[in-house]
Amino acid sequence: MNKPSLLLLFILIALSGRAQRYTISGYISDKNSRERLINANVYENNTLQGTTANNFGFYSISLPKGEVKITASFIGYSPQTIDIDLQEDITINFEVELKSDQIEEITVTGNRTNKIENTQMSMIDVPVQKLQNIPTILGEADVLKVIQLLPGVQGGTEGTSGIYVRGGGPDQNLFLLDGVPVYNAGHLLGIFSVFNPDALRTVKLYKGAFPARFSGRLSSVVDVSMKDGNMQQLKGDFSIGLISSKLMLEGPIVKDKTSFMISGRRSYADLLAQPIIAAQNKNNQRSKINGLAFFHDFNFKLNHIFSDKSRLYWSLYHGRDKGKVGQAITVRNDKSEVIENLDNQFGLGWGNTISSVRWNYLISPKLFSNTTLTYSKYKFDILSDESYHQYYNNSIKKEFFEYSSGIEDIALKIDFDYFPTPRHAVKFGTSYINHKFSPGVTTFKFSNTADSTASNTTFGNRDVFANELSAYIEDDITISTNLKLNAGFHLSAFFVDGKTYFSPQPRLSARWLLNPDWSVKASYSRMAQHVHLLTMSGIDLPSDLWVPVTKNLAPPTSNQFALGTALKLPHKLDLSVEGFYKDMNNLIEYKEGASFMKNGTDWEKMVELGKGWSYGVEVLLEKTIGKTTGWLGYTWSKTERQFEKINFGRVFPAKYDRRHDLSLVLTHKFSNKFDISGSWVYATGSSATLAFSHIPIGNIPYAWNFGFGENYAYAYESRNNYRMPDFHRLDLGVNFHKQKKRGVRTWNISVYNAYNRNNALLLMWMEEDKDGEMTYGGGSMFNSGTMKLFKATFMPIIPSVSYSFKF
Amino acid sequence: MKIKFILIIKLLLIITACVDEIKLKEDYTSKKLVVSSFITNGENIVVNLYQNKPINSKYEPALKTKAKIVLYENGNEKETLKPMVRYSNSYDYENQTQITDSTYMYTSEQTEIKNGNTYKIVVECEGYETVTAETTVPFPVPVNAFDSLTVHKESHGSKYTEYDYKLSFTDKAEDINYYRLIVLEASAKKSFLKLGSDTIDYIDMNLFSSSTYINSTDPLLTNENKDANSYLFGELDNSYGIFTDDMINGESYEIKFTANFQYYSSNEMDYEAGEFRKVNLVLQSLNADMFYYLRSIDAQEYSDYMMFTEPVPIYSNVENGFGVFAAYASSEIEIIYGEYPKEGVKYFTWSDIQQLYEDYNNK
Repeated sequence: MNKPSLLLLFILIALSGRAQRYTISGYISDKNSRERLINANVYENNTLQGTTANNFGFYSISLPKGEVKITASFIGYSPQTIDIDLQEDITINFEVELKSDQIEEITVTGNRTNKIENTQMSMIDVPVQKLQNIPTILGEADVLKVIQLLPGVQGGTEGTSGIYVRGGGPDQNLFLLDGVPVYNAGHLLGIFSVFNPDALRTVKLYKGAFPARFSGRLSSVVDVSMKDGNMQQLKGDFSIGLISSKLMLEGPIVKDKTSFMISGRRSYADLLAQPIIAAQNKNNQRSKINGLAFFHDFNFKLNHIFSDKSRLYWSLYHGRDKGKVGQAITVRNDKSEVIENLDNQFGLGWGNTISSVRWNYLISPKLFSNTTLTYSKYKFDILSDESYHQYYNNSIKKEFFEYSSGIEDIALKIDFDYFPTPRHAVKFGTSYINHKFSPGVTTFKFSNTADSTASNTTFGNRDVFANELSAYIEDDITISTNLKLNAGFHLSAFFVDGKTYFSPQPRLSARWLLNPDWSVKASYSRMAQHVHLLTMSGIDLPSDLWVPVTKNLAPPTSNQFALGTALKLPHKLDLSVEGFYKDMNNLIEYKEGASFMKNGTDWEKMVELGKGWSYGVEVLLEKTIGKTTGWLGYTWSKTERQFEKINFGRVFPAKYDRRHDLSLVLTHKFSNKFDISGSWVYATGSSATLAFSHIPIGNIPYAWNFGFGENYAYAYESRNNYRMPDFHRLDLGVNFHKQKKRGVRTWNISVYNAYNRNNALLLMWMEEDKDGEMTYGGGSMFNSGTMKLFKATFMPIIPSVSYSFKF
Repeated sequence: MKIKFILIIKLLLIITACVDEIKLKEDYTSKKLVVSSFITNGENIVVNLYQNKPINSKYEPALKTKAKIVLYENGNEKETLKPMVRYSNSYDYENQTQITDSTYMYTSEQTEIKNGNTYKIVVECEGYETVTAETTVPFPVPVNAFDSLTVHKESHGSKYTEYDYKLSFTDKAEDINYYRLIVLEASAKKSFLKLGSDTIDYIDMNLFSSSTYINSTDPLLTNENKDANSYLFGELDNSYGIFTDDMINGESYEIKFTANFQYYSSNEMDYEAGEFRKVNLVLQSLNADMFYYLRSIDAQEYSDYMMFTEPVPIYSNVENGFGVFAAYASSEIEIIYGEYPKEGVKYFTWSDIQQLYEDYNNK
C-alpha cells in the first residue's frame, strides 16, 4: 500500500474513532416535585466517567458508542440507573426519589460533588433542609445565622446576620438570590436575614477559590436559589412563631408545565413590645416613650416549560423594614398646669426589591444557555421630627429632618455551559449592568413662631450612574485520574464619571487525588469590586452607604491563596483543613472625624484609601449521614488594616479580628417524631476603640488657651486597641413531629443562649458615686465618682416556641 | 442625633436591662508619662511632664516626681535638662477644694535648637516606664508678601472692624509640608500713674500677644468636612489654623483670611492718644508630629460630639507614653496700627513703672 493510501486509512480510522462517541444529555429532577437538582451527578458505571449537572439541573456527557450503563445520583436521593445501547445523541431525563430515612451512606461513585474529588475548595453547601433543625434566636430558622457557624466566617454584632468572611468587611460579600445581587441582607437591623428558608432550594457559600463566573466582591459569594415550585401537586408550609409568622405555597398551575412558589413573612415584635413600653410609661407622668419595629417580605417564583429545550423562570422578592421610636415630655408647673411640651419622633426604614427573568435554552446536547434579565433596588431612609411648644409665649419650634440613600441595578447576562468531552466542562458568558447610586440626600425644615424664622433646605450627593461589562470563561479539566484543574479568567470593565477601570481576574484551582478518600487542593483567586459600602465601623446599620468606585477611588482588589486537604475518616466523618492568605487593596474607610451623617459634601472627601490582609487556618469536621449529623468548625485567623491617614498610618486590627472561633453543631434524630439539636459557639473577643485614661493637652504655643491651664483629652492608644470579652453561647432545640391527615405538624421548642451568657453588645462607661448609684455616661476628666466599664447585653436567655405545618 | 441614639439605647435597655461590669486588667489602668514639648529654632527646649489619669481612678494632682530627661541632638548626647519648679492650680471636685501643686518643667541650658536637626529625649522617672521621643525641626518658609485691608462693619447696631489679610508664600516641592497660620494681637492701651499729686499718662507697654480667631473661606484653611449644614451637625473645627500642601505642592500661593480683634480687646483704639495695635501674622512650618497632634485634638473633640463616629486617638510619638515631642519654625510679619513711637507719648513697661515708684519713694 502506498503512503497516501496509508495516510488516508489512518485518517479514516481516527475519524471513525471520533464518530464513535455520542452525547447523552438531559435534566435531573426530584421525582415528586420535579425540582431540578443542582450539581447532581451522572456517570457511566463501567468507565466511571462522569459529569455534574449545572445550576438548572442540566447535564451532558459524551460516551463511546455501544452498551452503556448510566447512573444519576444526588446526596439524599436513591440513585437511578439506566442501560442504554448508545447509537446516537439522546436525551435522558432522570427523576430520582428522595430517600428520607437515609441512615447508611450511599456510595456515590464518581460523584463530583464529593468534596474529595472536586477541584472546588473553600466552598460549603449549606444544608437548607436542616436549617429548621439548627436552633437560632427566637426559633426563626435563618440561613445567614447558620453560615456564621461555619469556619472562616465571623458574625457581626451578636444576634445580627452580618458575615465577615476570611477577614473581609461586610461589603465584600456578594449575596445572590436567583442570580440577582441583594444589597442589604438583613431584617430588623440584621437580626434576621432577607432569605426566607421556606422559599429556598440551595445555598452555597464560597469563601475562596472563586469560579470565574463570580465577580464583584472580594471575600465571599453566597449563592442562593429559590425553589422552582412543585410541578406535581400543591404543597405548603406555614409556621407561627414568637416573633414572626410565615406561609409558603407551591404547586402546579399546569401540571408538568407551569408551577409557582409564593411565600411571605411578617414580624410582630412591635406588638409584643407594646405592653412593656406601656408599663414603663405608666409610672412616668412626665415622659412617655413609644416604639415599634417590624418587617415583612414576600417571595414569588413562576416556572414555565415551553419544551424540552426551553424553559422560563420569573423570580420576585420584596421586603421592607420599619422602625420608629419617640418620646413625649410634658413639663408642668406647681399647679400641675402644662407649661412645655416636647415631642421627639425618630424613624427609619429600608428594603429591597428584586426581580429576575431567566430563560434556559438548549442549543445542542452539548451546549446549554441561560439568559437573564434582572432588577435590584435597595433604599434606606431616616426621619426625625421634633416639636417644642412653650405655652407661656405660645411659641412652637419645629425641626424636621429626612435622609435617604439607595442603589438600583438593571442587568442583562448570558451564560453558557459547554461539555465538549468528558474531560472538559466549560462555562463562559458575558453580562452588562447599569448601576444608579444615590449616596444620600438630606432634607431639613425648621420653623420657630417665636421669632418667625423658617427654612427649608435639600442637599446631598448627586446620583451617580455607572455601567459595568464583564466576560468570563472557565474550564474544569480532568488532566489525569489524580489531577484536576479548574482554570478560569474573568474580565470586567467599569465605566463611571468618564473613567474606565479594567479588572482582569485570573482564577486557578487544582486537586491532586492521593487516594479515593484523600485529596490535596490549592487555589488562587484575584477578585475586584466596583462598589463600596461606607459603614460605621462600630455598628452594622442599614444606613451603611453603597457608593461606586470613582475616578479618584480605584476598585478594591484582593488576591487570595489557599492550600488545603480533604479526607474521609472512619464513622462517616469528613475532614477538611485549609490555610489561606488574602491581601486587599484600595479599601475605604471613613476619615477620622467623619460620619455618614455629614453627607452635605462629596462623600469621596470623607474617606481614606488603605489596605488590609488576613491569614488563617480553618478546620471543618462534619458528619452528614446518619441519625446524628453536624459539624465541628475551628478557625485561627488574624486580620489587619493600614490607612495612611487613619491611626497615624499605623497597622491596626480590623473590627472583627477574632483570633479563635469555634462552632459545634449537632442534630440527632431519635425517630420521625422527635429530634433534638444544639449548637455551641465560642470566639475570642472582637476589637473596639476605648480610652482608659485622660491626658493633658495644654501648652500648645499660640493656642487660644495657652497659659490658662491644661485641657484634657481621651487617651485612645490606637484604633481597635481593646479586646471585647470572649463570646460564647449555647443554643438548644427540640422538634416534635406528628403525621396528620393532611400533612406533618411540628412543635419546635428552643432556647437561645441556654446558660444566659452575657455577651457584650455595647461597652459603656458608668460612673459610681460614693453612695453606689450608677449613672450612664460620664468619663469626664473631672468626675468625682469612680468610672467603671460595663457591657450591655441584648441577647439574654430567650426561650421560644413555634408551630409549623407542612402539607 | 445624639439624643435619638440615647433614646434607642434607653428603649433597648428597658427591654433587655442586662449590664455587667468588666473587670479591667492592670495593663489598661497603668500610669504612664505624658510628654508635652514643642520646640522651635533659636529657643531652648522646654519639656512639660505629666501623668495620665486612668479613667477609673479618682482625680489626682499632677506629676510631682522629679524625672531625668536626657537630650540628644542628631544622635549625640547633649545635656540633661534642668528641672524647674512650676506651680500649678487644680481643683479637687470631690472635696471641692483648690489645690496648688508644685511640679516640674524641664529646660535646656546649653542647647539652642537649630533648623534641620533631629532631637531626641529619653525620660526616666521612678515608678514609670522610660519613654523616648524624637522629632526633627523643620525650616521656616518665608513670607513673600502680604496685604492688609481694614474694613469697618456694623451688625445689630454694633460697629466693629475686620482686618482682611493676604499672605503669600512658596511651598517647597519636595516632601509633604505642613503649615499653621496664626494671627497674634496685642493692644497698647493708655493708662495713668499717680505719684503723689501728679498724674502721669502713659501707654502701657506690657503687651501680651494672644492668638486671635481667624475666619477664612480659603480652601487651604477650610476643613474638608466644613459645609453648609454645619449648623445641623456641628463641624470639625480647624481651631489651630493648620493645613498641608496637598493643593499647592511646590507652588506660590496667596492665602486669604480675616481677623476680628473685638473679642480679646477693645475694638476702639485711641490712636490720637498714642494707643496702637500690634498684629503679627505668623506662618509656621510644622513637622508631621506637630501637624498630626493638632489635627487629632480637633478630630477627637468632634468625634466625641458626633454619634456614629469612630473615636480618634490623640497623636503621639512618645514611645511607651503619651503626648508629643514636636517642632515648628516661624516666619512672621509685624503690622502696627496707629503710630509707634508717637512724639510726646510716654511708653512704660512694668519695670519702668517700678523704677518710677522707687525714684518717687526715694525723694
